[in-house]
This record gives sequence, structure tokens and C-alpha cells, in this order.
Amino acid sequence: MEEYTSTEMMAVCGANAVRDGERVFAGTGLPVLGAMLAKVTHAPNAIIIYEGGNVDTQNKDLALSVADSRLGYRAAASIGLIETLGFLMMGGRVDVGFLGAAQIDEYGNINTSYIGDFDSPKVRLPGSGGGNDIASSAGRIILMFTHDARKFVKKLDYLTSPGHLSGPGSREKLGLIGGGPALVVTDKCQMDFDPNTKKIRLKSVHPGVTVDWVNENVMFDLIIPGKVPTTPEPTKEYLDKLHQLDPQGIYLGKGQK
Amino acid sequence: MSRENKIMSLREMVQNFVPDQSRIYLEGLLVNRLPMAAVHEIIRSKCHQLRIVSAPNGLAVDQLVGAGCVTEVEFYFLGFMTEQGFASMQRFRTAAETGTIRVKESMGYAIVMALRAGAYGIPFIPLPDFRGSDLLSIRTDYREIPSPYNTNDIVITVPALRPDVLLLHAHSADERGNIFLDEPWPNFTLTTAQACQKVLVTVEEIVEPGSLPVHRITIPHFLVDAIALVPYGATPTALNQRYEVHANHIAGYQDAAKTEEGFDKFLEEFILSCFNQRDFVKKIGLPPSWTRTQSSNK
Repeated sequence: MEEYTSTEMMAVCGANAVRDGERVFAGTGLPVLGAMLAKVTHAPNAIIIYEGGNVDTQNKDLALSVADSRLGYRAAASIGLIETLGFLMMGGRVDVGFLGAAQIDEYGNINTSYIGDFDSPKVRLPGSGGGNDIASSAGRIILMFTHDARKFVKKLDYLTSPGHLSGPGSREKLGLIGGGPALVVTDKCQMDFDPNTKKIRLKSVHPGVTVDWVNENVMFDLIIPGKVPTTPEPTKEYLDKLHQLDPQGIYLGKGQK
Repeated sequence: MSRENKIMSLREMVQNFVPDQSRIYLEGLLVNRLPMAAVHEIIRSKCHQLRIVSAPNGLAVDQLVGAGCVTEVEFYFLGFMTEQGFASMQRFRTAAETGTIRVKESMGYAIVMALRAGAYGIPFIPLPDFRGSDLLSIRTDYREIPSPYNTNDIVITVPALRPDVLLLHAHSADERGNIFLDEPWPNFTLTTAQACQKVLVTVEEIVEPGSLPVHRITIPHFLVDAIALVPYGATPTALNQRYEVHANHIAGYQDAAKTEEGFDKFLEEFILSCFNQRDFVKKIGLPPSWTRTQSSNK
């Protein structure tokens, strides 16, 4: 059995959610590591798109931002923000988008703007960025963030980016072209969405994590199926490739378990 | 008519073109090509009550806010990754959390499209979607209206953005103001230059008149109002093909900006007591030179 960290587990889960040939819109950090890992393993024909403008990037060095010029290396196109967010994203030409969240509710709606009141926020967060655009228009959304009960709230302080809003049909009613969130990956578990209610459902727990722990660490009623599988452990191949992508541990950390 | 020679010192540029209460658009993205020398000069010139519209340029916004130059920030993302992890903008955050600045929340594509409308002289512009978020409840200037062509379709409209001033750092210019940006994705920069009423550009080098062929002109001279020669004008952020991020300095800033006292000390040491960008770069040391190129990227 390979040794791995919970961060590595998250990156591998992210990679496994990408299918070959898909167009993937990834932000910097673990999402992009996941997308790059998918590309060097089971999804060699995935096309990675960065908001900053580069499309089908082949960069060998890890990028530190979506505007990093490392991403120009052998890219198929370098077309700028208007085209990545407009032509590709809003035009419905992206299959899968990765997002993070500071708060998420049971329908997968997310907040990355502020905690507390808008007029006197307790915490001012970085903001939407392209988050709302991605959440509205990408074919499906994969959410990745570290597990903390305070993030899984019954009611968001602010809805930055739409998930399934108030349930079945609500995205369609507003004309959102994207399919909404499909998967949540944390350092403890994976969650998907019940097709009938569009509410978050536990999909698998990572090795060493119990279903009870997850249930106690969300602040809404989590759908828990009768049988919850354990997330398969990352293989040596995937872990090795992951470390080749991030040899300095910039996103993976310095190896803390 | 525009003057034939638009070259001036950065100090003159700021004094002539950045009056108090200006609405400024900051070009660059994350830790790439921020107009840092111009930002520092604005702080030295003690400009007040500026309204900032910003691309995700956290570092520039944070310093302008911390120095007390700003009353309003319109933005869609502030923060960036460094090798130390995610950098959140602490002076901006404190100001936003305590209400000392007005915060105009937006989203990436809304600002992009508002600038496009500004560039093309359209009073407002519809967006394909965006509904479902809380943005419409806090941005009353963003509207939901029925499409004039199919009243069953609802579209979001955003008003055109025509900021007073664009601040941009670029690679080269000639004296007429033709600008060359040595980057693979300059098209949005041209849109911002078209949208802003005054276009102020600091550059790494001034080239001979006529030496920029048309396919190397990112912004044509008739859109540009002033040029200042400022080598390392984006330091401590990176400039494609020229220099890398000055990581130590940014890490030091992030540390200092945790408190108001720390920020004030930083401000005095690295901005106010420096006469110009040359002085500043001398103090912090040259940034690492650009080592990765498109062809030799390992």
C-alpha cells in the first residue's frame, strides 16, 4: 500500500472526475493539479483551459496563476479573458469546471464573497472571480475544498455562484446553461447530488474516515445512502505522476500526512 | 490633436493625468504585469479619493487602499497564489470589513463585458446568464430585463464602464505612443485601453519611431495619452520574457500588511522614502531574470 497525504487524495479524486477528451476549466491550486494529473494518466486528450487565456496547455512547469506565462508553452491558443469566459464558457463549450468554496449549502450553492452581513462583513473573501461564470455555464462542476463543518451551512451568507439553487428545475427556470455541481471532493470524503432532490449526498469516505464523522461535520441533513463505499486509495502510478507535476510541493504541501 | 511626443516622467504623468477622485482601471493579472511603479508614484503623490476598478490585481489595490488613496473598489477577485500559498489582501480586507471603503462586488465576465460596452460606445450590454446569484440584490445597477426579441427570455444588463484612467505597464513604446506588449494574450488589454478615457503607460524601453511594425502594436498611439520610461516598472510582479516575481519582497509585504503599523512601516521604507522605481528596485534588489521561455520551458 502506498503512503499518501489527504491533499494528494484530493488531487487524485479531482483527476478521476475528469474524462478523456473533455474541456476542463481549472483554477490554480489542487484543481489544476487534478486536471494535469488526469491528462498524464487516463485522459490524455483532455483540453485544459485557463481563464487568463491559454487553451490546451502543455506546460511542464507548474503554473502559479491562471495568467502565468508558463501556460503559453505549446498551448493551442492564447485568446484572452473575453474569449475564455465569453466564447468558451458562456458559449457552453466547457464540459467541466473546478471551483472552491468558503461556504456551501445542501444544493451545492456556494459563497466565495463574504461571511457575515454585506454591509459589515466579518470576513471579506476574495470574491467571485470567474466562479459565477463557471458555475452558471460549465457542463458540470467539481467542488474541491478542505472539510470543515462551518463550510457546510444550511443557509449561505451570500450566494456567489449558483449550484442547484432551490432544487430540481430551478437552474432551468433561470436559463442557466450549465448542469451545476456534480461532485464535492474534500480531504475526508466525496459527495455527489441526489438526482431527484438535487441535494448533496455522501458518495464515499476516504480511508480512515467514518460516515458518522462526516455526518457530524456538516451543518445540514446530509443524504447518506445505506451503503457508503470507501474511496479507493491512490495508486503508485498516480502518486508518482502527481509528484512529477509538483516536485516542490507548492500545492501538495511538503508531505505532511 | 494628440502631441507627437508623449514621453514624460512618471511623476508628470501622475500629476497631469490622475487628479483626486479619478476612476482608475488597473491592468495586469494576479502577479503578472501590474503597473506597480505607477501605483507607488500615486501613493507618493498622495492622490486621494480614487475609485478603483480592478482586474484581479490584489497587490496594487491593497497598497493603494492601505495608503489611504481610495474610497471605492469595484472588483471581482482580489488575492493571488505565491509559493507560500494563497495571499489574501489584508489592508483591503480590513478596509472592507470596517467599512472605510465602498466595495462594489462584481463578477469576471460582468466587468469584462462592461468594459467592452465602454470601448464600443454602447450604453449597456446584455449578458448571456448570471441569474441565481445574490449579486443582483447588491448591484442595483445590474438589471434583469426581458429580451426585446423574445420576452420570455430574461437577460441581465450591466452599464458600460468608461474609467477615467488606464494604468498599464508594457514592454515597449515609441514616442508617439504605440505600445507593444510582448504577451500571447493581449486582446483584453486593447479593450481596456479602448474603454478608458486616458491611457497612461509605463514601459521597459522606448524604441525608435517607426520601429514597431503594425503586427507588434498592441495599442495604437491614438489611444495613448502618456508614456513614461520605467524599467522594472512591474516589479515586484513579473513581466513576461523580462523578469520574474520578486517573491521575497512580496512575502515581506504580506507579512507587513497583517497590521496597520506593519503596513505603515513598509510604506515608509519601500514607497515614500524611495524617490522613484529605480530607487525602489535598488533597495529590494533586482527580481530574478526571466529564465523560462516558450521554447526552453523544460
